[in-house]
Amino acid sequence: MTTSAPDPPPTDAEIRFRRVYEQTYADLLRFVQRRVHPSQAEDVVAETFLVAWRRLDDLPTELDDTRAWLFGTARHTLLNEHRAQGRRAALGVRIAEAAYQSPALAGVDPELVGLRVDLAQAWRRLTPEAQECLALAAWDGLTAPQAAAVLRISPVAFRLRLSRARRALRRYLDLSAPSPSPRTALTEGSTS
Amino acid sequence: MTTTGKPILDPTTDTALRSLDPAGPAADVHGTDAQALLARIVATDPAAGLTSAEAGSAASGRAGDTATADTPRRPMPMRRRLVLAGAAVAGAVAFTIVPGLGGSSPAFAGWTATPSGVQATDLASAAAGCKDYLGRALPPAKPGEDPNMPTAADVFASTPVIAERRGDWTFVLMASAEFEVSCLTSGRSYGNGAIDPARQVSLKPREALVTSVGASTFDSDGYLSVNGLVGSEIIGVTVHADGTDVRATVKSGRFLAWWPEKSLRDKSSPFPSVRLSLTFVDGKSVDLTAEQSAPLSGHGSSRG
Repeated sequence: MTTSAPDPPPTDAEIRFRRVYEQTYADLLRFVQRRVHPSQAEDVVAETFLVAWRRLDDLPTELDDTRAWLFGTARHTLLNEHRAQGRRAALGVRIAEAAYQSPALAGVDPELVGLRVDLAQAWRRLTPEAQECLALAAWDGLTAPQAAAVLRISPVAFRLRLSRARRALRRYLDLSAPSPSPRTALTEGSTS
Repeated sequence: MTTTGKPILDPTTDTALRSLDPAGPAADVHGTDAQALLARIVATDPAAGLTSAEAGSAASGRAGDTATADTPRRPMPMRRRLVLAGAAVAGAVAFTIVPGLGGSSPAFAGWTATPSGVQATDLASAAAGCKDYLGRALPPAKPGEDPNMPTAADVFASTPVIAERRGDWTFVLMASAEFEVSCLTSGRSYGNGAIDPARQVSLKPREALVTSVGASTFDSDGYLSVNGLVGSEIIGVTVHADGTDVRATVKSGRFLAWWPEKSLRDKSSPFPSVRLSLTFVDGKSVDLTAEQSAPLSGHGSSRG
């Protein structure tokens, strides 16, 4: 490590940016981690924050809206990378391996274990668009207007997509329900 | 993190789904990596045109190590090339917000407020290119369980129904029994397409139906488009938006117009305010405000 000279007083812009950074860094990193290999995530986060720094005046004033703005910018960066590599233009969202995640959960509730396996399988059958909608709602915890801003669509369009994604996920889950997995009983007891 | 109030499926399934979040635990923003990145960013001139390689090195200490091997990383800001081609947008009016990374170069130089027709050979070429471009962004065939989701097969099953040319750009709307596919192309590049469910409606002679209003991107430039259906006595449609009057193409019971986006939208009102002027065969005309166009899209109101 090296020592450094005292920093000059931060500008108002820097103060604001540091506050945004502090409040959103972890969420943005997780957003990106869901979409790319972990080794690439920090680069995308860096590019996104650099855009935010250069476009600070464009950032929304509300924290939740700022987070959505950053997510949308990160997503756009990822799409650019996909296109540059000649890959498809939709961004799929990864899902954790059910068998290796949350051992505490796995030890507690065998039905939940089965459900998680089914969910992971169903997830991978979803279109990238459906994965994005569900991930924004379930994992990023965004409201419909915020998620819509991330996807650059209207809240109405997002709700429609999310509704379709829900139906698709439910359908894939139901398809796997007759299997002798522990989830069968759970499904019968917990869903309409 | 905020939460949405409505369950995704049901509480039990939601719990299982949330436990499958592939993201790692929340990173410590006060950690070494995060603070090093922050320091690198705020040390830069916010008005300077930094390269993303510099940004990448700020994060990893390895400049440009995620760039493709044969090309340097692009200078900032990133180009807004194609956002998403394949998403179906059901319902009345489908919007796509232009990303917040605006280009500063004159966009769509040579664009004209009055459209010209498209030669048959040009139309065939544009349609073929658009199908190829959009089709590649979609799954090849029905996944089987979600009939609402368009596929590449749907795109390839569509045929051009209306097209127009403004300057160097051709906008083509293609339709199949299930979907309508819109695409802007210069012959070399393609804009962010849109796919909407086809609307099977029967309009009265003076009824109009807005089926899609969208804001999309073409390379780094934003553009807006509107298309819909018109009754047999509507011979002209002019679109007013962003302070621009755009004469739409009207043909075979459809209308279509697109125009360059003048500026990024105010974040509090991200959607274009669109007014339509309809001209009837007897010379009369009627203006529709944005508020009036919404019921149009759902019911096909009669005006004038």
